[in-house]
Amino acid sequence: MKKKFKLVLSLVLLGHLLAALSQATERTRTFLDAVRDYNQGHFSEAIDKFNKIAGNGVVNGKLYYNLGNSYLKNNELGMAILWYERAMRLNPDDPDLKFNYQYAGSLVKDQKEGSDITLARILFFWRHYLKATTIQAVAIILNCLLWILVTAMLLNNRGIIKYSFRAYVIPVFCLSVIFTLTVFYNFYENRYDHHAIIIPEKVHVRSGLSGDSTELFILHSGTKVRVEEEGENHYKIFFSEGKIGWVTKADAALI
Amino acid sequence: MKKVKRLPTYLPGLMVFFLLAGMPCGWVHSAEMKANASVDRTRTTMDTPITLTVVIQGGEGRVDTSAIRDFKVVSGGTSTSIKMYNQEVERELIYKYRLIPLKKGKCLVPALHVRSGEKTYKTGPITITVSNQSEKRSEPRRYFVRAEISDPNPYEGQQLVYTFKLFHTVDIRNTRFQEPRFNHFTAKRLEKQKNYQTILNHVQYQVVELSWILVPLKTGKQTIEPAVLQCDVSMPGRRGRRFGIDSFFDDSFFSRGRLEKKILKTRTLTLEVKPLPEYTGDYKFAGLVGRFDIKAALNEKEINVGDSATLSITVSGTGNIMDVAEMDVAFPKALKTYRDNPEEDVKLGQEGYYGSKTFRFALVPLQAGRFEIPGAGFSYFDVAAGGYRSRSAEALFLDVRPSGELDTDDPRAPEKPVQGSAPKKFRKKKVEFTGRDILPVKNELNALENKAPLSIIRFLFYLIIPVLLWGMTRLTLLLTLKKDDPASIMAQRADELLKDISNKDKTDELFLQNLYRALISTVLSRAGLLGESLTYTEVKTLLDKNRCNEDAADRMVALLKRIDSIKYGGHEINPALREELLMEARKIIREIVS
Repeated sequence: MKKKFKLVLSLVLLGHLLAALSQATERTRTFLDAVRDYNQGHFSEAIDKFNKIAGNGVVNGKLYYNLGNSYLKNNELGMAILWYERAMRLNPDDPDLKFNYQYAGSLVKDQKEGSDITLARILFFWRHYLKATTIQAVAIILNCLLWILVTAMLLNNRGIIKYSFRAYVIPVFCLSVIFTLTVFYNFYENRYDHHAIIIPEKVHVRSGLSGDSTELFILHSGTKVRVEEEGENHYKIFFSEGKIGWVTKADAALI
Repeated sequence: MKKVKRLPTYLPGLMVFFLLAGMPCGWVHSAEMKANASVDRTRTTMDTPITLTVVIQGGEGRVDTSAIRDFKVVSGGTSTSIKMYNQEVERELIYKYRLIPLKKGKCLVPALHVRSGEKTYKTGPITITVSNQSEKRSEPRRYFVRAEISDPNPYEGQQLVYTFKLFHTVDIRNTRFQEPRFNHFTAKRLEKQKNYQTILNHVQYQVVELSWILVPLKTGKQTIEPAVLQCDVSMPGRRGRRFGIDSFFDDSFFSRGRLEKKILKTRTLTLEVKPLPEYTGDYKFAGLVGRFDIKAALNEKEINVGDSATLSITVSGTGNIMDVAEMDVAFPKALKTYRDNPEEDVKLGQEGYYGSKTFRFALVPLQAGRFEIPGAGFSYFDVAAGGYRSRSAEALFLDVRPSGELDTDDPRAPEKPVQGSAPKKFRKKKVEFTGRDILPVKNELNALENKAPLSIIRFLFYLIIPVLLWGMTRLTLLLTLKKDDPASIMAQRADELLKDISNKDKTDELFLQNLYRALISTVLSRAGLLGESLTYTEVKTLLDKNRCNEDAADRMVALLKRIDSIKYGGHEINPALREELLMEARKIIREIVS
């Protein structure tokens, strides 16, 4: 009985493994086909394939970069910038991404108003140079180190070990707090501080939810806005001081 | 005597609180939402607006007035009313609108949709009869508004100026302006408002003027609905009639500032937008309407093979300059070209948009020779002339020398070294972009790895693990080392002795003995040793070795000596001395233990 159970369990595990391997192989094939389509100038096909991989739950800055490139080559500036923004959140230190993102940004028709420099950007400046996963890993490692040092102090007080490591506790504690706060800030920003990108060539930002509401100003493809409120079919967006209004959800995509 | 039970004093307040808190709940549960629309009259004239009131009972909702076509709708604000009857509270949300008739005859206020969450309610339709009864003016008007258009028969794409003017001879305050919806036009308001005086029919008026630049997007008959101005107008008083000098005492200064609310509207403007005639020119027509010119320039007329020169083509003029399309130039094949992003310098003036758009090309010759760069051209529709015009820049010539052959005056040329002197360095040039494109896609397979950051739950889990390990270590130490640890044993002994001598029944001898032992046990506990007695030197040595406060160590030794002195000196101990010794001992022990 035991042997039969073990055999069935092994077969089930093997089945899962094979399914995972087959999925991975198919994904790899799709990716390579997409790269080939891109290099041959079939940008729409490349977009479809990259989107299929992303739609299957793969979260990867390089994949999003490829999507940005494909959309840009396909003259869809809004979607290109949207995917570059998503890639920047994962790989802010990628020089290729920064270059392409800057180039795409230079094609946006609307001039940025106001400054990008905020207090949060100054206090957590390293967020824009390190990957989110790197910051998380550093926070976890520093936290472990901190508690190891605290335990060492405890053992030293009991006379079990000779050296107390007291001198290292405060600097490690400070670094641990800084990186942990940065991680929490990243969580907060991802969850509550929403930004969106204007997708169509031209969007009329209105004072209300209906199509007859007064048009307040016009935004163009690729412009980045902050989402203040979300209705059923609309977003209330903030572009700059004094430029706030409503757009439909089809006109702006959340980063 | 029996105590009379009284109700707690807070109870009435609590009851009132629950009553009030429960009231909205009851109201929410008992009232069903209703929406009603009504007007103040069903007959009116073209000059007289009517008031539409929409009342929502039993809930909150948003009124959609977009279905009203026969009137211009001006919002008059919202208010809330709360009524109480039959022990129930009813809340009403009231929306008010001013409706200005747009046509004569039977006009309809259709059933209005009121949206509340996911549900939609409807009001009933109302029919209004609008007659054409105009005002009789026997004297010049004190205030009126006017809308004008610069050209009532424009071409599609032509810039027009729409002007709104307010004429007044009396004081006008609290103005609220509703600009018309420019359907099928792009509209840009000119920032500067004009204020001036003018004379009409021998009357001097103050004028406020606002302007918009419009561009029609659709051909055919187009209308611009009226602009509406709500304001408070200062009306003349009655004093002047008493004295017979009307004009002086009719001034608003003397009329005690009597203000009347007025709504002024302009007439509807009708335009006939003509389509552009069929284009049959050589150049591609990109929809430019206005008046434009073009010029081209090269920054360098002579360069070497491999160097770059910049060709700038500038289109300037008035009209939709921003719509100038990319210039197509038939460059010679020997010139490699890199297109830069166009640069726009477009401004908005009283007559419309004007400015320039510049296209730049970096040219890198691959071989020597004299190359002709043909002039770029374009076509536009000249409104004044009523026809298409073409413009082209003159052709330019670029002389390319073989690489290495530099002019002696050229600062880039390496100087011939003078004999005996070190060669001088080249003057450095800033590296400029000669072309722009994006970097290629990433084809490494690690682009398929899932690199999503940890969720907050998992991150907190990883943070907590080392804390748990620390906790387990501490617990283990507490449980396992407590019994065998000399430090714990001696510390416990010191505690017990101190507690014992706190009892005032102890004899002086026993007090001093136990106090002494408590101090010695503390020192041994600090050193992690078991024992009974120590010399003064040993006490000092042990405390110094275990990094105790030097001052505390000295005071410990001093106290031990004092105790010995009292014990063997035969001094009497009074309760005050006992207390003093005990307090000093506790203080020293606290400092040594911490």
